[in-house]
Amino acid sequence: MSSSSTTEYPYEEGSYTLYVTKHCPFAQRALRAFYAAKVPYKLVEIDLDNKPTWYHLVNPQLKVPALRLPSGEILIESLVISEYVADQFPEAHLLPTDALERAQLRLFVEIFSSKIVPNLYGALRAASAEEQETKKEGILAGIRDASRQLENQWKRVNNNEGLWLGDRVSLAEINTVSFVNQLAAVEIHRGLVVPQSQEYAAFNKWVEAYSARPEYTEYSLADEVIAEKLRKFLA
Amino acid sequence: MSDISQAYPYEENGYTLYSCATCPYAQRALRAFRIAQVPHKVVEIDLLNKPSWYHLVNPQLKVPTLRTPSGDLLIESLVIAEYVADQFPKARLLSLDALERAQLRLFIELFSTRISSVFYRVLRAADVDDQEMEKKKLLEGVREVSRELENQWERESGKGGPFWYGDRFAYAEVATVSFAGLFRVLDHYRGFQVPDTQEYKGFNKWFGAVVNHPGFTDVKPDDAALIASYKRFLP
Repeated sequence: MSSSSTTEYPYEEGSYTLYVTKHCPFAQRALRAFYAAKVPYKLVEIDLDNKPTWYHLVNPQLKVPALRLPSGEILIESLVISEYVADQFPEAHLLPTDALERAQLRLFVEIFSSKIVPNLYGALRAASAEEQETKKEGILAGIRDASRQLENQWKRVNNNEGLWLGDRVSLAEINTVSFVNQLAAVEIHRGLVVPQSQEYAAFNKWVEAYSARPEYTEYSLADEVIAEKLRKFLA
Repeated sequence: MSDISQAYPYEENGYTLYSCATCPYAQRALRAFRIAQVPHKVVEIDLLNKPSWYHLVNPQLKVPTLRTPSGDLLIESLVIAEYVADQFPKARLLSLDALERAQLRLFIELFSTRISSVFYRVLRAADVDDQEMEKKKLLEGVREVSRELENQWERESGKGGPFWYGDRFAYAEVATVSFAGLFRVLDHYRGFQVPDTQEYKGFNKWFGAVVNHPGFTDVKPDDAALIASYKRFLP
């Protein structure tokens, strides 16, 4: 891996460089986007507990992921990076071209960002059993919402193969599945159970469908590993 | 306007935007439609006295919500604005270039976290010390936004300003100017103003152009109504 003599951080000349931490669910959005689009890149692993002294030159906020383009520009924010990949490599079909379908996909992703993720960390952090129950119910409410959206979506695309777009991985999975993976910590530490009933059926089918895909398995972590990594959030 | 057999009012075969004139999020949707010159029906929702049917439109009871001619309902102000940009590409609200789009998304995120969110904290802060601390943070945010604007104006898509896309009031303004309008509220309640010095030059150039543009003024609620609507955020 080369670096220009006038810059002070490592990157791949003439290529994409992705600065990530492999177990970080936000960074996994970027990893899965590049994987799904089959775009070559150089991976630079950042130890979040021991950040390299040069990393502020890449991202002053010191977060992962960050992406250095071949032209030298740097992008941050996991959703901006995954959407950049979708826009830059349209042949990968990571987003539909129709305006309404794009909006509906974005709203599906938003359920995870606004309802599931905050309650996921909230459940771990909650000290009292009562608060833990409230946060777990928040997660389940979000999952029911996602389930309804999946049902509506499958009617629209008239396709029952289980992914948002039916048979193809898109940003609907890329931007969300790492957080469903993270739910293992709430299952193990807080006893969360996602029911098998009708209200959750579409969600469970979707999980089963994407879990078999390499876009998922390439970066997914075993439940016990997740539970251990997130132990630090426990009250 | 409405089919009496439906339970909520909407425009048959047209776009219906459920909005509130003083809500900065709803204004994003309004501005997107106006700048793109897309005909639309506005149904005003009094947020302090919501119509009993509104839950049929948006179960979260928020504004804005968009009903498309096909009967689909979209929520989330930026999803709606991006839908308009995607559905009406001739309006050129949003660049088609992947990197330009990513940079614009980062600008909107920066504005939101460093300026818009901080507004509310300045208003809500109970004691003078907290108010001063939040005002300092707000000024830091304005300086960051100022620098980003100046970076953008060096790029080909920015062409020297004063708007994000040079001489065109477009998506970046649609997504941010309603929050910029809140400076009027802060001036009234907290005597806050952005200084006219070098560090704020970019922001002041942008803001000066914004406040005189019909893209801003056409949708802007009158000062008295705006100021009154923010009284409820005071401690």
